[in-house]
Formats: sequence, C-alpha cells, structure tokens
Amino acid sequence: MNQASSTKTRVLISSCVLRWQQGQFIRLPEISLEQGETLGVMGPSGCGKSTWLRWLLGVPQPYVTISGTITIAGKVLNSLPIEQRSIGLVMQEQALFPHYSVAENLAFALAQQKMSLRAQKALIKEQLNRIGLTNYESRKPYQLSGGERARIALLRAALAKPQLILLDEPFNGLDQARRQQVCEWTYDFLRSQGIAAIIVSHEQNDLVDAQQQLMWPQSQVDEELV
Amino acid sequence: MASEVSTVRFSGYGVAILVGLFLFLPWVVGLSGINGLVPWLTAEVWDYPGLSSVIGQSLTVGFTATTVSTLLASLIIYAEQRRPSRLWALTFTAPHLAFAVAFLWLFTPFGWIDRLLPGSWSWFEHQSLPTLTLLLISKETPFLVVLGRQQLLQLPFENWLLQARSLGASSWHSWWFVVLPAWLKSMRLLIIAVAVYSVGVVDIASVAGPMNPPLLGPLLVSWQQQFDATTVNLAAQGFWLLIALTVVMVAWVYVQETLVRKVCGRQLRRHRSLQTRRRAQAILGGVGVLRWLMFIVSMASGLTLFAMSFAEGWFYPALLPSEWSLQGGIAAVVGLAPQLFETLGIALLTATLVTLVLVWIREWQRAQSREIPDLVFIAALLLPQTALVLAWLHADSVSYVIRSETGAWWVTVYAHCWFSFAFAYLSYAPAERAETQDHLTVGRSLGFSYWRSWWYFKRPQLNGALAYAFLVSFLVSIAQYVPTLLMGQGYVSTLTTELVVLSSGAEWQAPAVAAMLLWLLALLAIIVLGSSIRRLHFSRDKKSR
Repeated sequence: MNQASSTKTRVLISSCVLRWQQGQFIRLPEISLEQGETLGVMGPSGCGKSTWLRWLLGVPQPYVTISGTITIAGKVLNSLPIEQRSIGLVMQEQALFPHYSVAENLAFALAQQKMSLRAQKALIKEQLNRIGLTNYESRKPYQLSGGERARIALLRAALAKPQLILLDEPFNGLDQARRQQVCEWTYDFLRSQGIAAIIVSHEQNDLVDAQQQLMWPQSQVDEELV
Repeated sequence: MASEVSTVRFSGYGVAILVGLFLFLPWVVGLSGINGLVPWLTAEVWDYPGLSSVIGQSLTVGFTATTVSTLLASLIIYAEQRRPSRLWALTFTAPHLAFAVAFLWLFTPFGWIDRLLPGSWSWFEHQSLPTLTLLLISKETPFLVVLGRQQLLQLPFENWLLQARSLGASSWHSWWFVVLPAWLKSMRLLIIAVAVYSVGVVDIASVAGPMNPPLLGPLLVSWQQQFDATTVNLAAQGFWLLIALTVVMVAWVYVQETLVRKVCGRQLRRHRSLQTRRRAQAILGGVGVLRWLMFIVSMASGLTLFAMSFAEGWFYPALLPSEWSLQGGIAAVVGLAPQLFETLGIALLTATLVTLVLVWIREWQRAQSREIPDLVFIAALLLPQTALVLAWLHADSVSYVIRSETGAWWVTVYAHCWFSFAFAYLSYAPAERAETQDHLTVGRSLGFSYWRSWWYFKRPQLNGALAYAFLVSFLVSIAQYVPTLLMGQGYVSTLTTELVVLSSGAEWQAPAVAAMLLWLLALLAIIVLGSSIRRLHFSRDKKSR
C-alpha cells in the first residue's frame, strides 16, 4: 500500500505543557518520531493522556490549556484544522461508523485521493485480503468481532495516508487472549506501513512492542497560581 | 449486592395491572371498535365529490410538512450542535391552535403585516393549503429540534465527527455523511409521529386549512358528527382511507431515511475538505436568521392575540385599534371561564397521572433490568388520532360509558392521559436512562424502601426531567382537540374545542381571547416549571460536551 509520505516523516512535539485551572500542570519531554516508529504512552486513567491526544489532533480542550508545538515533516500544525493535519485517529470504542458497511467505512478514508470508484473497490478488496478479512466488504460493524473491528479501524486510518496515527486505548474491550493477538498485529501493521504512531494505554502489556515509551509524568503544582 | 437489591419487587401486582390496563386497554377497545367500522372502502366513499382532491391535499400537506420540517430540524441541529438555542423550546411549547389563530391574524390578507406593508402578504390565504403547510412546518420543526437534540445526545456523534475529520472530511461533510443517517434512524419514530399527525391533522386544519374540499381529517370528524346513518357510514369508510394514507406516510419516512442513507453512502467516497466552508457558513447564517424569525413570529403572535383581546373596533387598514377596551376583554375572559377551568383541571389531572405512571414504568424496567422498546409506549403517536378515536367511538363499551356526562368526562381525561403519555415518555426516558441506579441502591442498602429511596436519592437527580415530562403532558393535554370533541360528546368543552367553534364565526375578539388564554396557560406552566427544566438542560449540555 502507501508509504506514509514520500519525504521522511519526522514528528516533533516540543515544549508541551498541560495546565489545569486549579494550578496543576504537566510538562512533557520533547517527543521525536521517525517514519514507522511507535511511541507508547502509559499512565493511569484520567491523567490527561486522551486530552493531550485530542489536542494533537486539533480538538479544543475546555478545561485544560495546552501549549506546545507540533511539527510533522518540518510543517507546524498548530493552527491547522483537524482535517488538514494528516493525523489519523483510532479508538476502540465506536471505532467504526455503525450504520455503514466495512467497504463504506474504508471508502470514506479514500475520498481525498483522486481515485475512480472501481479503483477504490479494488483497493479495499486487496487491503481486506491482506489483513485476512476476505469478503468482509458488505458486513456491518455489528457483525464483526472486537478484533476485526480494531483491524478495520486501523486499516481505515492508514488508507487516508496520514503521517501520524493516534491510537487512544485501542485494545480496550478485548479479552486478554485477543488483546495480545490484536496488539501484536497492530505493531506489525504500523511497521509495515511505515507510519509513525502514538499509542496511549493504561496497560503496560499493550506498549511493550513500542520502540519508544513515555511514562506519563506526575502533575506538579504551580505555586504562583495557587 | 446491587443487582440483588434492584430486582426486589417494589410494588404490588395491583399497580402493575392498573398500569398495564392504562397502556393497553385503548388498543383492545380500539380493536373491538373496528368491527363497527366495516364494511370498509365500498363504492360510497369513492363517490364522494372531490375525494381525490381531499386525498391529494392531505398527502401534499403530509409529505411537505414532514420533509421540510425534518430538513430544517437537521440543519438547525447541525448549526447548533455546540450551542443549542432555547428559543426553539419556546416556539415548541406554544399551543398549536393558539399559534394558528395568531399566525392567521398576522399574515393573511387584512392581517396586521398586511396593514403594515400593504399587499406584501396577500398570497397567504386565510384558509388554504400553503398556509396550513407553513403553520405545520412552523410547529413541527421546533418539535423535531427539541426532541431531536435529545436523540443526538444518545449517539456518540462527537467521536464520529472526530474520526471523520481525522480522515480528511470537513466538519460539514462529516456531519451530513456520518451523523445525519444515524440521527435520522434514531429519529424514525418521531418523524413518523410528525408524518402521521400532518396527514390526518384536524385541529389546525379546521382553522387554517382549505374548506372546499377540506382535508381528510376534518372531513372525517364532520362526517362522524352529523349523526346521520349515511355520513357515519362514510366516516367508517374514511377511517380505512386515513389508515391507508398513514401507511403511505410511514412508508415515505422509511424511503426518506433509506434515500439519505444511500446518497450519503455514495457521496462519502467523494467528500472534499476545503470546498464547503462557504456553504457551511451560509447554513449557519441561515439558521441564525430562521431562529430569530421564528422567535419574532412567536412573540408577535402572542402580542397580536393580546392586542386583539382588548381591542374595540379595529378596522382595515388601521394599524392599531381605534379604541382599547379592558372591560370588553375581561368580559370575554369571564365568558370563557368555564372552559378555562375545565382545560386547567383536565390538564393538571392528566399531567399528574401521566407523570406518576411514567415514573412507575421506568422504575419497573430498571428494577426488572429489562428495557422495553420505546415503540410500545409511543405507539399512540404512530396512528392518526382521529382514526383511533373513531375506533373507540365504535366500541360498544365506550359508546355506553360516554352517554353520561361523568362517563364522557372520565373517558376524555383517559384519552388525554393516553395521548400525552407518549410525548411525556419521549421527554423523560432519555434523562432517566442517563441516570445510574447507584444512589437508589445506596439508599436501599441503608434500609430505605424502594420508593422512599427513589424519593430521597434518585428523584432529586431527575427533578428537571420530571418537571419537563409534567410540562409536556400539560401542554399536550391543553392542545387536545379530537379526543375532547368526540369522547366528550359535548359534555366537555375546553378552550381548544371552543376556539375551533369560535374561529368559524365572523367575530374575532372571542377566538383571540380563547387563544390568548390557551397561550397564557402554556406560559404559566413554563414559568412555574421553568427553573427545574433549565437546570436539566444546563446539566445535559455540560454532559454532552
């Protein structure tokens, strides 16, 4: 399939600070990712990981002020809207649009690419074959297992040719055996696609295959604000 | 522990039987009444002069009002997804008939706008299909916006939008191609309710609809009311015709939903991120204008009614009455006092009973850990009210009971409760579902009985939703026309039935006073219950963010 970008992708997230109204703040270290590299972010629930992920995507955050610079391939993304950032998102919960078939879900990701409908169909078929889900085109998300949904969600994100994919607790809701299986498949898939990725999880086991790991820092108190 | 506590029986079988009877007796009685509605669709009804126009007009109103209201509601909900406006709720709560009377006095020839800008509004005939259609759209759009927003909050639409945008789609395309098909599906029952009401509309159609020939709803009621064997037989046949039109409308709602789903499914392959910002801006601007227009029309309608009620001598083309008469207005209010108290009494009783039944049914489902589909509780909205009431009238048991004044009164109250229940359920159930049983379970673990625990621990969380359900039942009750007219058998006269009678005459002050009183009743209820409801919407808005 695609190589994430013709130029070498370098994701740089620098000077990132999250500030809460109560005076707490978290300062993150500089993050640098090369093409195909994955960063695993580990931390307990409710510590601000998902909020940070949404900020990377460009979603305004109501209760936290986040500052920092996001650069991909030399381009600063901070002022760009979500759809122009070339950042994909995968969630375990509500990962696929439930009222559309698998093929329609995947076609949504191909819409930005000038491609005939026939070429779209052929590409979707080929990609589904490749991930071991042959003849799944017309199935609806409710007819899929949790693992199959996770694979299709990741494939959909990759088909849009993003330079970075964010995975927010992507393995939640899977049983332990399947979780391990889907987890391994996800890292292999990301490596094979050459797409940089940030995976956020509260389970250490989900992140052991990540090339870089970040333990979410403890929040500090800003004495001046308090 | 939690499940053990929650499955404990919390009320006696007597209550369960009563609630079951309340919900299902009308269906049983209606089915038994259908015997009286055969023979059906014989040649007689087809020979009725102008029947094809009657059918054509009813379908035109039904299709147009349903489709346009749905389209407008979806645009408004798109535009207001982050900051929902409460102005729609104000328009939504204005009683249909009072709004119609005021609207006619504002916009039809010789109306107030015509006096202000002569000739500009002459295309709004007093009783015509376009006027009726516009009125229905003006009333059904806020209904779909207010209840549609609640449906939207039950969908993970923000996650969908986020994912769609991360795949390169603009927020405009993400909304139309991803959220709209799912929202329409979740709105199916409500849209069917609008379609069914529009195709069989009687109350507004009697005041603002075409008369020669009329729509099927008013025609059926007039046939039924003539108490002549031939016309009653026509009414029986017309019943089946109305059912057939309803089936067509329900099919249309399904077609509309499928079409949107198919078109979106095809178009989502072609979304472009950058070309639509201008279009989205135009829509946002248009919705802003529409919101204020509707609000201004509602307020102007209320003011017009007020002015008409106290005007003495207001001849065309005078912009304002030549004289004001407080006494004349007060005399008209006093004249309508019996209807006012009847309306208020029935509405209060209805709202109280409906709220009690509503709470019991929701708690029963929670305690049994069993979620009964909404369809069971709102099925009354999915059949034309006129058809249901006609079926009851043909049931021997009902016709026997409503012979006496007391019987007619109680059957009317029952009908009000039954029809209001569906709307109240739609208003209360989503909020109740969003609440956990944790408080209640903690209360029970402290030794409280189920209902004491509900009262002290769960009710405070649901005060807003309960007030809203009470308000909705109250508003639906004061607006009931067909059940009051046909079940009341002339023994029960409310402001609504009186308003229709008064509107058919040449006098304008009395209908204006009746409409004003109806509106004031609604406003009074909103003011009394308003603070609780505001709290509900505020907390919901916060949750949805």
